Amino acid sequence: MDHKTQKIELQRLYKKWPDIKRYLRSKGCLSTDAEDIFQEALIIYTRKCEEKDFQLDVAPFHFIKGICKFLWYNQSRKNKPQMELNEELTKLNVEEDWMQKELQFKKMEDVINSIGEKCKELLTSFYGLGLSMTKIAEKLGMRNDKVAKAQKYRCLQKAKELAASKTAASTENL
Amino acid sequence: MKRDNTKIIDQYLSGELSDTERIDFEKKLESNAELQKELELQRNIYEGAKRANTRNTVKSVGKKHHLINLTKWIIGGIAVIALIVSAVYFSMQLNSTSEKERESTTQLQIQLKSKELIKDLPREVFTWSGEDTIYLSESGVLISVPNEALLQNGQPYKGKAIIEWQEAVDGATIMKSGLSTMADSNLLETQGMFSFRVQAENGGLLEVDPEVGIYLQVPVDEIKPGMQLYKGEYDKDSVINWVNPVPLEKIPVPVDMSELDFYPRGYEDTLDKLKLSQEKEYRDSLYLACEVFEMESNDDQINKEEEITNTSNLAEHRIYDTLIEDTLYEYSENQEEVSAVDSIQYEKFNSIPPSKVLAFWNKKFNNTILATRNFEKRMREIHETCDESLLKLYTSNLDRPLYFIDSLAVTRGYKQFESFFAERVGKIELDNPHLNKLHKFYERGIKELREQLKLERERKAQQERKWDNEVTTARSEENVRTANRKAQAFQEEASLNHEHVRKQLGFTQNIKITKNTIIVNIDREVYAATRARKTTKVSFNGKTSVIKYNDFTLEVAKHKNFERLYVYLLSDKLNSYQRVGHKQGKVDYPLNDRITYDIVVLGINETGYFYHEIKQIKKGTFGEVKLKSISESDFEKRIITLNQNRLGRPMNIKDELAWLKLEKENYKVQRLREEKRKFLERVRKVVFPCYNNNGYKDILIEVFPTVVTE
Repeated sequence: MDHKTQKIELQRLYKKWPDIKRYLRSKGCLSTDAEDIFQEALIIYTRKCEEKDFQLDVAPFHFIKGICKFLWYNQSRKNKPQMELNEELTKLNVEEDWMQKELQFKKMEDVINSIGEKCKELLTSFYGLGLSMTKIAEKLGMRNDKVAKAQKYRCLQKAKELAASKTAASTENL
Repeated sequence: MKRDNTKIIDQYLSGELSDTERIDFEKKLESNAELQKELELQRNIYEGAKRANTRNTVKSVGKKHHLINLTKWIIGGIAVIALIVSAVYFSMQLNSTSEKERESTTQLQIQLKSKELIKDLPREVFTWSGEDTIYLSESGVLISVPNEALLQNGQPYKGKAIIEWQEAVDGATIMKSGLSTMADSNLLETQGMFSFRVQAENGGLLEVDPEVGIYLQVPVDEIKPGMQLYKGEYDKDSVINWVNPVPLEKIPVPVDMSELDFYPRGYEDTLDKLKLSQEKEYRDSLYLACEVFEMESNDDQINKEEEITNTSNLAEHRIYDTLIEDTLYEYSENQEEVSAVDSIQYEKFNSIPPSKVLAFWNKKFNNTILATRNFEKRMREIHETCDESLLKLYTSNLDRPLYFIDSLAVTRGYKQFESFFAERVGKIELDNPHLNKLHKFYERGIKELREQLKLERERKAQQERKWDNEVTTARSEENVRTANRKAQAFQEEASLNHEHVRKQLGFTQNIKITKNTIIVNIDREVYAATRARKTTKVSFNGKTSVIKYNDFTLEVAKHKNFERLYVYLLSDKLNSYQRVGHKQGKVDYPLNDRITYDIVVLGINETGYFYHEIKQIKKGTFGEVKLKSISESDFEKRIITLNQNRLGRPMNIKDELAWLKLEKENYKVQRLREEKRKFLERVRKVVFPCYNNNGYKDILIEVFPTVVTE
């Protein structure tokens, strides 16, 4: 799916936001959290659809609603035993491991967000938008693609250090 | 971690390595756990970057979604907005763009009527047909060009026009276009730069009518205080210099009252968690029910029952005075318990009375500063302060700009209103007659709500009083009945014993004569034996008579399950039935050997009656007895049959049954009442952040004793 089609699809799905909001609120989710959960579900939907062998068995709306349900219960850590939550995922054709990894990648977003605007823009343009180094150099006002590439390594290095220190910190806290 | 690894891992993952390099790397990887970890981490970072990109897209879609939903009210509100900005030639529309605060908008710098559009910046073009129109730019800026906003040579322009729009909202675009952020020699922090130019159909430049204005609404992630609107001017080196800063005044956007939420923080969530109705009407009425009037007695329901003074029908049984005293004591104890619960007093505490919120949360207040997202936010804080006078500042200054009222709040020492003040949200014009009407409407609304609440409470209190009186009356009747019954049973049993002794001793009269001719009344011994329920020998003149009592004990299994537990003895010799007491479910009541008894054990709780019967006994040690559930009608039938079968003139048991039924009902009534009180207390704690009625818990005592012993 190219970027534009993706955006149109997301716009279409966003119209369902009031329904999802009502649904999440009925599950005891605060409205301030509800939109974060909804957006997270849209991300998961988009990413899952990008996988070649993924088969969507239910309507996109129901997929998103199911993911919202999973995310909310997972976040609030109450009422539902893990087993039941996983069943929820199986119904949606989503493997448990895949979901766990997604939650891990989500943490990486925090890392990407804390390495500075320029680095963030560079890495998301390259890995997310798939822009070429030449284009990126142009966009970010760098002399040429080589400069951009060297900068990319520096940004990656920065991200890795930050991620490692974060992991260390969270292990200490345990 | 070495930088080498980052590069080589990146090359490996993106397939940039030659075959030999790749094989070499994979070998290293196999034996190096550290490297494996690093590879994994780097992969995760790629995914994180991908995700961050997707999130950006989702967020921008979300922002647009909320903005588009706003266009409706913008069109509706244009006449009002135009008046407010009349002094500024170009005003920014800066408001909460959706229900989420972080979607709020602000604006920084604007370049207006520039002779030259900014170079190297893509241009968006809209056509304007001479009517109120809203445009949405690529980055989500809302541009509203109202009817009569444009002038040609100083005259209103009616024809078609072309709008040119440029925007630079992110750092990269700003830098690429070589836009400066200098105001003379000062560096500015920016949240966006825009250019706007309108041409008439025939090509001539049009001007914006300063009396009408054009509105921009710019979505930003973060509201930065102190942002101002600058005008851009090219200097001699063709660099833009930003001049003439104007503080941004946000125009409050009227929202329909029905879309706003003025409840205290957490109120709705608490009700949602309890799965209570989502109907606004219900939530409003519950919210109103939380209102506390000063030194209020919760239901004004202190029943001072008259003491039982009518003891005339007890007087006949003076011999059993102690028995009656016991009963009266029991009775008065119950009374104290009931009235203690009913006289909860509320100490004064600061709060925002629900009536004062509900009175303005009404469509009559649409198109006032109260019907705005801005005020909604403030209201949430006002609840937290518990300061009623703070609310009054806003409700009584409807014609003032919000930031002015915010400043008053700050001077009262509420620091949290500084950030509101910094937002500089302005006012909504109201003509004076309308304003007066609103003030009156508000005052009347508060009064009406409070009166309505008082009436409702009075009605409920009356209902409760009525019920309690009924129960009290039934109890006092029951007490008198019990005393009578006990007296009667005692007298009947004493007569029975008496008759037996006389027969055995061969007496015809109630006296025995000793050698010294002292007259002894054998009544005393017989009464003593009957009262003590002890086997007793009465001797005279070589003859001996025995009044025999046999052991009878049982223990009710799980007696704590029953709120009340009664043991009835139905004898074949006495007209009166007997109700005997128990201690913790244990019954120990010696039986008269000359009587055959049917025993009924009855447990009552809210769910119903529980029953056990033992037939035709004179004695027995029954150990644990299990009660079985029985329907009310079955229970009545059985006990009435047992009562009638035993002898010719059994004492009527119907009053007793009616009383039992009432008691059973009363447990439920009292429990529900108590639950309701506790529930309201719970909600009150959410609704009034400064409420802490600690005394309440201490006063709470159990309304009814679980076990009654006679």
